[in-house]
Amino acid sequence: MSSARIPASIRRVVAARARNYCEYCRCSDRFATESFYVEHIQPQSADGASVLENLAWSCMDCNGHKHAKTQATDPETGETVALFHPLCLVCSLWMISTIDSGQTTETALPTQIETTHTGQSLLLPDWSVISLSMLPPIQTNGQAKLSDRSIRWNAGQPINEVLRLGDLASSLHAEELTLNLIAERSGIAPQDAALSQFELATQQTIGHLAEIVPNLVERKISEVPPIRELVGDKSEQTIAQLLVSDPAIASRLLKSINLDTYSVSSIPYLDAVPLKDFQNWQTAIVNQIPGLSQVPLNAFPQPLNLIGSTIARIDMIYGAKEIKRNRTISGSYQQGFSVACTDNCAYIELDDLENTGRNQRNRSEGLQWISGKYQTVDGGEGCLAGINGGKEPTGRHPFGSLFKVVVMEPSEQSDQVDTALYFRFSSVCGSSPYILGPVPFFQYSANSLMLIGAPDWQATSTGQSTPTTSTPAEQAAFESTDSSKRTSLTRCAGQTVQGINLDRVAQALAALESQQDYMAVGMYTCADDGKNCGRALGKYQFMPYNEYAASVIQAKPGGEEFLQRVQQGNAPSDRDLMQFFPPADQDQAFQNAILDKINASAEELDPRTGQRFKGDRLIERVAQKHFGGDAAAIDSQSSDALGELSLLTYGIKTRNFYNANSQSRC
Amino acid sequence: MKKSLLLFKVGIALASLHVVCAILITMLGLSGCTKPNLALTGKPLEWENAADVVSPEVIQSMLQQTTSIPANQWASVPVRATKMHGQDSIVLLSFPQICGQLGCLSVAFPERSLHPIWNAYWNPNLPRGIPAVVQHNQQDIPAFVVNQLNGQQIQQILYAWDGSQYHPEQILLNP
Repeated sequence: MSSARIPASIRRVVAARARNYCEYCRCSDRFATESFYVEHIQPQSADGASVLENLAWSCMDCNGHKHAKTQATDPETGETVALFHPLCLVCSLWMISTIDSGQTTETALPTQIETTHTGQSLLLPDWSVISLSMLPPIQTNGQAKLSDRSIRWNAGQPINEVLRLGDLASSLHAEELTLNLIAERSGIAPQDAALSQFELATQQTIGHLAEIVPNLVERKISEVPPIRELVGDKSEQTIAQLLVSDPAIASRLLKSINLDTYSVSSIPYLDAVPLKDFQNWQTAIVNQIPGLSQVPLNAFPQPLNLIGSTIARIDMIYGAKEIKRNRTISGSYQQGFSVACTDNCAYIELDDLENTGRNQRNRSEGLQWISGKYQTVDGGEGCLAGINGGKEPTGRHPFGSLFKVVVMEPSEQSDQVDTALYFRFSSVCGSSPYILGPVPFFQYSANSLMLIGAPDWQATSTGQSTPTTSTPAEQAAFESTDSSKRTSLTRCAGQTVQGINLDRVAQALAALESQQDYMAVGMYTCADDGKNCGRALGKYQFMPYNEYAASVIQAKPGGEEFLQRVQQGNAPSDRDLMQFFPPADQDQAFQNAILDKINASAEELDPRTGQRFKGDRLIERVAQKHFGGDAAAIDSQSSDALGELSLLTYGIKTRNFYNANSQSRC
Repeated sequence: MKKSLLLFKVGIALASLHVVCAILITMLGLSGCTKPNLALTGKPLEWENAADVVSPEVIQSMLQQTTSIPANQWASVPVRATKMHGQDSIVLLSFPQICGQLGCLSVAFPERSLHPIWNAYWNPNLPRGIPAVVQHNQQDIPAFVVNQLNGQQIQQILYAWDGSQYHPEQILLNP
């Protein structure tokens, strides 16, 4: 049964997920004479929700035949049977088993089938459907003591009750979302939720809400019912007037009244505020942000996706009695993905797709993915690196840094192996090892195909490992320890150029600018008498003719044409931006620009000292060039258009941000 | 011959169609962009090549005072100029290639002196039809408005003379 109320953005996602084929009869919408529908698998009349996991792309015929039915009479047996469910797991498994008999892959998650160049089928998680709320619950109890609090989790607890928004920041950039974007991408309407369910908002003060909610200060108190209840009978005042006449009100928390009876939409434009604008957004539990748990993982500003595409066949499955395994492809970001195992080396042995035995020695022949249930490796970054003794289960990251895929219990008896996901905790100064799990993922049998991601084991060194007989969560001996002796990749310990930390100076500069979404697209504008036109793109609002942005976009297939379209006024969609200028590329372009300015400024003479710019003065000069251009006068008094700050002041403020960041975060 | 005649006829037909469309678009106000009604209005300034407005020495003096560009490169720096008329004419110089995150550099100075009285960066990226700078009035020392893009809105900054320099007297957002 279809509905005309499905937003266009959801239609596009559903169609793309189905690759434009009817999910019932497999005919293509490209050759259809009638429009396709977004069909409710469980009909709305039977309380089927308009969420991605209940929506299917359907041709007119299938949509009409199915209508609101969920059952039908089998013409052969006469029995009443459930109708085909296009997203159901059992159907996918059925397809796999008929194509590749003897090779089974099982999971409780929605999947998609990829066909390899050898014609074999590979079952993959369908991240365009899977959201955090769809992941199976955590399997064991655990706890972690972070610098500011302790966290406990229980077996059976959903992952979205434990993860916080800050834990999704570096991998998904979830903090860039607004409730509006969440609604668009999840297919639900968080604006209808009770305001009390948006706990992050309830913890804000009235003064801060006045700062971050568009136009709130200009509204009359009577237009904002929760504030009207909070302040009593001052309805005709605007909120700006209220804050002037009663300054104490600014520090009142929204949650000081009962918010159960108000919806999120009772505060106009609250749904337009990026989550990162709320105070303490990092600590908000994911399921306390309405709709966030239902956003498909590849619909986040930094989408979850495949990292590399290496596929291997599971050749053999070995139990824990194995020892001394050196051809491994498992490990961690800290130790690389070729960490040797000394004893208790339960593992799966991999092979090329073409090879069905051990007679040939091909590229993947004999590679070993060691079980993380039996082997731990170094993990964690920055100030949280010491948690759990700095250890995490060995594994791989075929889907990026949000979670680690870990081989759990390889069983020689059943010839089966299960895998699980482990998540981590993050803060502004680092990340814990991947210890939050296990969350059941896929189960494979011998001869199954599995994705192992990028061939990163070829470029990394073999490190030491620590055998163990229990999972990290079961160890539960978590302490926050001194991490200063550890060398790892951290946000605070990024690339240093001319004595300046590139990440930190980029953060300091960004702190002085009006922040934009990675998916932001500006109005069509022209400069230089119409010679340079286009739309500003992304978080840093790069114009398409900016050399740093253009170079990374042009490097992509179709990138040149994309730039031309933007210069001609075409407004790119989120998907276009993700394809041609994703968040990682935006950050890279920004850092490239800063890198050039650091190097050029270090060659200039500082008139205050008569020597080359260095240290704090180098940071100031880089900031002056960033805001005023490479030809800006040193310590210039030229101001911004509003006449608020001079280039000299921008430099000083940037240096202060940089140093404050250094002292408090690293 | 027949072929060229046919092409000529097709050309005439297309040209006629183009003219009819242009008239219709003009009459119905259907141009692609909608020009917003800006609160602060005035006479858009017409920018010219700076060498046609002021002497090279003046340009060099401003480059020396407001940039770090070495003297041997001054001649190659693109500069645009315009004048605001009042009892004292004010020259505005714009440097379209001296740009950073705040926009591009502009300098204002009285025609009879070489001392900058306004020195700021503003973003030249604007929707078509929106002038970057307009002269707001013709008082002794004229006021002017700088239009800037702020999200999807036009922000207007009215600069007025306070006796020693230009300062932002009014800042407003147009819907």
